[in-house]
Amino acid sequence: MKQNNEVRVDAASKIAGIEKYTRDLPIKNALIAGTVRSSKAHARIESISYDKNYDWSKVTILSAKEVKNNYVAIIKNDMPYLADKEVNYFGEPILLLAAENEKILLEAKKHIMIEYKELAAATTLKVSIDRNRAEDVFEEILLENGEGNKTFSTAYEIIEDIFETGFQEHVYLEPQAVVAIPDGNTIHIKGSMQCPYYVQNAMNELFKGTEIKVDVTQIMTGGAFGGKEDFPSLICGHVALLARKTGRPVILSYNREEDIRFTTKRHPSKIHAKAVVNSDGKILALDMDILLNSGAYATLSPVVLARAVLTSFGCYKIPNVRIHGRAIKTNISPCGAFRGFGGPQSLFAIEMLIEKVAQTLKIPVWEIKKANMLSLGDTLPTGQPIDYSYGLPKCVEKILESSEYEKKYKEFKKYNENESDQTNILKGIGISLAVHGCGFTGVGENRIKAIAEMELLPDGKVLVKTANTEMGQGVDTAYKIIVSEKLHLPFDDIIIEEKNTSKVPNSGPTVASRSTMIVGKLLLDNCERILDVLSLKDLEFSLQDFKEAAQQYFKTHDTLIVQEEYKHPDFISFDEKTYKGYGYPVYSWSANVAEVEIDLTSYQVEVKKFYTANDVGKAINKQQSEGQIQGGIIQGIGYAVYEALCIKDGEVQNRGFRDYIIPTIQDIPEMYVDIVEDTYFNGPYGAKALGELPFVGAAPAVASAVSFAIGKTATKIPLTPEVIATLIENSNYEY
Amino acid sequence: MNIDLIVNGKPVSVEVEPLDRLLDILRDKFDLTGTKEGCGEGECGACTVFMNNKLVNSCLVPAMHLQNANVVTIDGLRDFDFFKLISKAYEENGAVQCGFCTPGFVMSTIDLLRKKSEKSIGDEEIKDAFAGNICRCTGYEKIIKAVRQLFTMNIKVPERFYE
Amino acid sequence: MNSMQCYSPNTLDEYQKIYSGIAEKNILVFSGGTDLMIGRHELSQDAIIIDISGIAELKGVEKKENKIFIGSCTTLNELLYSHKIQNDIPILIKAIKTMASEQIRNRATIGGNIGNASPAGDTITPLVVLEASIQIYSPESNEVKTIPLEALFSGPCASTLQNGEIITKIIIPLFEDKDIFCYFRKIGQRNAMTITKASLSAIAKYSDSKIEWIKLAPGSVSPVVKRMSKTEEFLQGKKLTPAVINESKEIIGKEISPITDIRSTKAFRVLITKNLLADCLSELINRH
Ligand SMILES: Cc1cc2nc3c(=O)[nH]c(=O)nc-3n(C[C@H](O)[C@H](O)[C@H](O)COP(=O)(O)OP(=O)(O)OC[C@H]3O[C@@H](n4cnc5c(N)ncnc54)[C@H](O)[C@@H]3O)c2cc1C
Ligand code: FES
Ligand code: FES
Repeated sequence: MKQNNEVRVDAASKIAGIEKYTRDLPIKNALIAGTVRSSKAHARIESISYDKNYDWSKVTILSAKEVKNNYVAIIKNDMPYLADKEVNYFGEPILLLAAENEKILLEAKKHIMIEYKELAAATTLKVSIDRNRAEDVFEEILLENGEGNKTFSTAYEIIEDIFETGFQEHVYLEPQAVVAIPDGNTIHIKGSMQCPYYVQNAMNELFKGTEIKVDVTQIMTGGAFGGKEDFPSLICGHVALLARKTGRPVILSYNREEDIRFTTKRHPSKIHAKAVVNSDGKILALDMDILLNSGAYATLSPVVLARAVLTSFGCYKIPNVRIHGRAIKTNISPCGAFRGFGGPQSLFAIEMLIEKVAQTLKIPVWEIKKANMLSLGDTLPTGQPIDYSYGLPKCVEKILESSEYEKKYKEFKKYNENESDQTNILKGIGISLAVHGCGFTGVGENRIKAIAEMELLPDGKVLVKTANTEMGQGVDTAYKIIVSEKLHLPFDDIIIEEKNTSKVPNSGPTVASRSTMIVGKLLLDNCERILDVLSLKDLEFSLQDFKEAAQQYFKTHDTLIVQEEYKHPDFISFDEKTYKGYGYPVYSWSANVAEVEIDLTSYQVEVKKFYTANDVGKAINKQQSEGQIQGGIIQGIGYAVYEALCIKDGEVQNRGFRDYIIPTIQDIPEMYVDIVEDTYFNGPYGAKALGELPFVGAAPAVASAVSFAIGKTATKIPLTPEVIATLIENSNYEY
Repeated sequence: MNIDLIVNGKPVSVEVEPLDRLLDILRDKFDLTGTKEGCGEGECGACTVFMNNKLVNSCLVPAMHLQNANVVTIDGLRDFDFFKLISKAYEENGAVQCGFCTPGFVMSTIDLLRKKSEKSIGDEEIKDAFAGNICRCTGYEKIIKAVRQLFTMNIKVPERFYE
Repeated sequence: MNSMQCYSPNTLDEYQKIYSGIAEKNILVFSGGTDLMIGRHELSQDAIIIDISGIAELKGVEKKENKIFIGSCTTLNELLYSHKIQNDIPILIKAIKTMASEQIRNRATIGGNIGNASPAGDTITPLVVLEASIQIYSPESNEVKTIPLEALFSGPCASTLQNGEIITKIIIPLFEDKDIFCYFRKIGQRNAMTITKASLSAIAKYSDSKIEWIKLAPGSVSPVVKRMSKTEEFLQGKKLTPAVINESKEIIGKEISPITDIRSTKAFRVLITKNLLADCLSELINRH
């Protein structure tokens, strides 16, 4: 495949402001929806009353009583669309309202009184763990290999600590927005979402046993990052229910405050990690107790935990492990999918544990990482051999060179000893190795059985039908490149079908960085089929030849539709009980170096430079790959130093962008991006996962640099100035 | 109250409440949906427009300030010749991902281009100019590249629009 | 729901007439609206809005008799690009440069920043060390009075303005002496678009390796912005030895009374305010 540097197919329309996002759709005669929420973290709803003096004729109210199958279908089906007798988190939807405009809704809300009887709430992980109830464990996973943690009794040196990561809000720039349009017995749902078929399934369950049919269309989505994976099912249910009740189109769009306070977040984690090491820093055994704070309902927590467990050993060869993971219920708003999906939490723990090992043994951290890093042919603690598509060594080589890590390591040490006193600045350089398992965990893909379809049209164009959505990551362009390369068609001859569940097959959700690798491969296989039918397979042919062959075909046929269903190669198997086998069919790898400065007046960590090399198998579109990487790094830097969600008694205190702090253009480092292409035999042109990879390595690199600067292992993120001051000044400046 | 204003060169008259936001007036009354709402609190810049030739957040402009105002939005600028060059620079440098922030960034770009006649621009100056525009997808790097490139191209952007 | 009442006078005279015509004097003075629009849904529906942004007398910068007069409805960007301010009040330029964004500075007014009376208002600390005063127009008495800026604030986001009173001008006395040191530094939660966690404005006269005098006003660390008179007195006439700097840090640490809020903690604010003072003093030494 040639080196592609294609301009995105949707760039021009977005720049001109022509592209229509959900709220830009012209929807006639629509009502606006609003949500009445719990003001308690855990309580019984005693009564709901409506001010008799208020004119309710302009407002439609919908309560749990009217919802028959009152659960959002997703893994455990434990979350209701509307709370009925009990609320489990502050902000949980209790009632839905619909009215002609926002102003009426705001006013109406003031005239609804809800009385609660408060129940004991566990608004922090600690409270939930301490009360030690089985029903608070949404999922528990144990992975053991070798002698497990028995090594500890014969240990050389045991080095341990507790590592913590915080909440993170996705901050897709387009807030959540969905619409339901009733049309006879059908409800058409449109909205900003990643996974139209997740919504479809949820709606099928919601309206099970009724005459209602639903179809779902994804509208151009203004960013998602996982935040529009599971969450839209909830609010699509809300608008669908209101549309059914009122018989009118209903729009629900969150403002930024609602979005920050009440949508899903990245799971905070608390990880107790122990390593057994010999005096050279070789890790002989690893023991980890992973706790994920899941919030009030399970949502995707079991699978987030699975990835956390399977990422916990990072990029290292560790013969003996015992990894124990638990996803814990608390009375805060449910956590959900977020770029990295459990990986960032456990990678932070393992990378910082190694930092601690280095500091304890007084060996430079890179020496330890190098000594323990996987080599081609090694086996993971799951028993999976790493014997193909392992580009990490190449990534390491690239960043060591581009960053001059080893030279700067010495220089910065000297600087901190000699010059910091004058400049009031501490410098740090850090290194991280990161891994992201590509696609669904275990044999998830075999369960999903993704189907992608292509249709040859009489004019020789092709129609590409997948359910994989464009949310900024560039999937539409990637698909066009994949197909164009194979069929020699120009982009204009490749039409991407609308992501509407009545028009496209279920090619699986747009998550887990799987769209290019899995579905892109299906498209490539579909292309082969078309070529086969047109008798062009394995031949050299031109665009002209293709068009003629198509013409020829349609002389005797009416249609040509081809379909491919995904299945892993046979040797890929996974045991969900023991967590042994192929956790993922293949892995993407990255190596990262961060340079930071800490200002000793403000204690602000500023990332000055960031070097990254990412093995993505094959960059289908170089320019967009770089863009994904740069965006992922900045989001990762946000996670590492800026983004703090403040929760008091279960209530999110942040109200918007003014107090949920994400990086602006003035907070970014110089970035140096390298792409390594160690191809994957089963990906299109060798491509594997890219979307999440750049995120997962960023925070550990920054935290490693901070550890260097302050001479102590940073054990938690975000490393806000208050945390840094606490570490430096040995006195508590935190909340 | 009723207000008269000029939107993208067209005199219009509209019935509003004093504290209605310019953003909603543009989107709901005039169907000018190129201007986006990312936060509604002046932080993200997705709603950026020109008002009386000044760059402002339309989510913070109350209707009562609009009497006789001249408002220009992305929807009124895309057909100018210079816009095509801006578009090309954004496209070719990969400055767009989800695109929700993009119209706002483009508005700030236009403002910067028309204010500065020199052919080069320092990164600090770019970073000052875009402090009020948030992008969560791109990491900003490619936007900066696009803007840097635009400054080498000698683009003529009028100082005022529709006046 | 009734529509809110609003008036947009073009002169102070008109303002006075409108005011006299209102029975229920529940008046909300509205300028650029960058503070007010954010909480617009929480504003009282019975409030009567008087939009003063169109009053020509309240705009612009003037220099008279060694004083600078700034109209309260002058926008932050107008100040940033004003040669008079650039030449004569560099500390204010330093402060405004750290404020918000181009888009906001085109709308936000200095009168609004002061009127909002937030201890985090970034134009306030420089004006306080400059010993600025403000003119207040009362439509009730139809008179203008001048008070020291510091006297305006009665608590966090609360001022001593009576209903209908507006700030018309900010008056800043200028120094004859051109050799005055000035310092402004703001610590926020990131580099751009950030509300002050703690800040420090200072002006000082330094000669013969000694502080002749110094005026200090930290931001966001007390219910109202005020001068640090104890710290100032302590530093006056002193040579800046490490011991003196350390002691001054302790004094300022006790003179402020910050709170814990979503942006930071009380302890941290004390710590960085001390650091800011040390940073200011070391800059002062290095400058000379
Ligand atoms: C995104 C964003 C970023 C910001 N960043 C900063 C920052 O970095 N630093 C900072 O200090 N502020 C910041 N602000 C706050 C705000 O922009 C400033 O306080 C601004 O100067 C307010 O001016 P205004 O004209 O918009 O005030 P308005 O909103 O019109 O009024 C504010 C208050 O002052 C009163 N008022 C207005 N004018 C007068 C007058 N002449 N006499 C008496 N009372 C009056 C009003 O009644 C109201 O209570 C920011 C705001 C936003 C939205
Ligand atoms: S919507 Fe106006 S600044 Fe974000
Ligand atoms: S491209 Fe998505 S926010 Fe900028």
